[in-house]
Amino acid sequence: MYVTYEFWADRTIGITAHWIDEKFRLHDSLLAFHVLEGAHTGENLSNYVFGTLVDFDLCDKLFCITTDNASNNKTMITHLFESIYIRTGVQHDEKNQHIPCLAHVINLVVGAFLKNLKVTAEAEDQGEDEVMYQRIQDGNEKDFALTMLKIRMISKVLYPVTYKCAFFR
Amino acid sequence: MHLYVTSIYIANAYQKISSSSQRKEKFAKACSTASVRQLQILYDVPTRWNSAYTMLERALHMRRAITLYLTEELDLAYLTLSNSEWDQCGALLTILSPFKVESTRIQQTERPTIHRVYWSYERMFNTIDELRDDLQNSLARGRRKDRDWIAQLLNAINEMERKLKSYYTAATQYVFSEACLLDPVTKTSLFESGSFIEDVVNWKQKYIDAARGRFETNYENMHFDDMANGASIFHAPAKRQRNDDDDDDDEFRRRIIDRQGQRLENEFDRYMQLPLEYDGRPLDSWRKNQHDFPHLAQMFRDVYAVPASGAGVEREFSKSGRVASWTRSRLDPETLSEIMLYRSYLARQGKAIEEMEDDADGDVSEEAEIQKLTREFTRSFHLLE
Repeated sequence: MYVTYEFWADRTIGITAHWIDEKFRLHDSLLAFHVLEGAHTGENLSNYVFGTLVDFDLCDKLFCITTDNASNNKTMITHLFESIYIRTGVQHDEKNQHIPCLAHVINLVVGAFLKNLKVTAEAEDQGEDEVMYQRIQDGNEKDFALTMLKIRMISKVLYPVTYKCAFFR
Repeated sequence: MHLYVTSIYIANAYQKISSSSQRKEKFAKACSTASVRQLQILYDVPTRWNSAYTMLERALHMRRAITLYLTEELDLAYLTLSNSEWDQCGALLTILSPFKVESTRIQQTERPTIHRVYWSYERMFNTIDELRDDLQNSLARGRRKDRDWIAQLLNAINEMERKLKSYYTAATQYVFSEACLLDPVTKTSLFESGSFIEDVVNWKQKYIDAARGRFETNYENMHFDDMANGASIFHAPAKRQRNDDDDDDDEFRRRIIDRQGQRLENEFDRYMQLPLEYDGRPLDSWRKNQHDFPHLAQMFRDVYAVPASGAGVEREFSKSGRVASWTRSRLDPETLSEIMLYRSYLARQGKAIEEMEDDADGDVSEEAEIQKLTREFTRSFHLLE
């Protein structure tokens, strides 16, 4: 039995369970989907996860837990494993049973590459449009950031209009 | 939400750049003139994975159409890309694409992914090495005016490698190496190649010892009565009608097997000695082998249930975006949570939400779902005493 957990967009938390049954089929299932209340401290987050585990009576069945690499997830794990130990006496090893999400790792690695080239979307959004225009006018074509800036602006012009739901704002 | 701005102003030129429908019509025409299939232009957003890649991919695909389009839009002419700049885009895309592939591969949830983690790291390191070699070559031989940006790329690739190394050295969780060993197609082969043998540490032996140790402490002495499925494996033959001779025979055979068992190594070592399987998915081949290695099969079930990424949860988040849509923006958080669980329940039943709309209300189903899941867990689960 295996639980992944993820914390997203400052507001919501999702918990899924994964296990292989006796016929060697892989299952995954959503256990909980909460909209968070209160501060996003590791302690608070761990209460949500622990509560879910208690609801499903899974405390003694947890094997590993996958999260992204955010620092509040580290404290979350510490608190969670502590609560489980107090309740069931089952000890977990943070070093081995907390699995970092590999997709996040790849994303961060690619992000490091893009950031080094200064072509990330974050870098763009800080600039005023006027500044961007000026940069393109003044720049020379040897600059990577500039090329991506152009592509991004072209894409922006031709991007379809999207309304994002107010709920997740 | 600043990521979804639909118009931008170029204050300097006092001209508004907006993504109007006229612009889109013009672009569609440019696409057909340049005989490029018009794909949806994608925009890079920091929160969406691989979005830089997809944006570049689409733009490069429609390169001719974009160039043509920009000649017609005078106020956008300054965005025209030179050939060298398109080359830069191509280079960037080439560098990003292997990582996109790895990321997609690891995000599937239908099949186990945990045994691919170390392979994935290995492939990414190899990719970085190859890219660096290529770039150094073109730096030495390339045109002078390209050298600047090739140097920039090299710099960024080194930074990427540094970051990857820092994550890789932290990825020492035992499930990663155990999953590799428990894959009957590969077993130790990864640890006998590449960076693993160049290191002073004998990783292969280290991983084997660690996995054997964990098998011996946690699984080897597990009683089959404790295992939910153990009962069915070991008691099933008793149902068959037998005569006395057979029983004697069985008794005799069992004694021989017991003695052999004492002489032979444990299941783990026995498994490791088997030749590699030529082909086969881990789940399928363990379904076949579970009777030969009943204890190790339990370890397999625990380890392989671990997904390498949180993609399953990510997917639920994107589904939630559809539930809490524009028209339902004032949805109560509680309700949203219940809808999500209900949808997940329906998905497990193999039904779409539309088919169930007239059904009983969500609360009852959620309750049922919890009960059903709890039953399934208690039936199919056992582990870590």
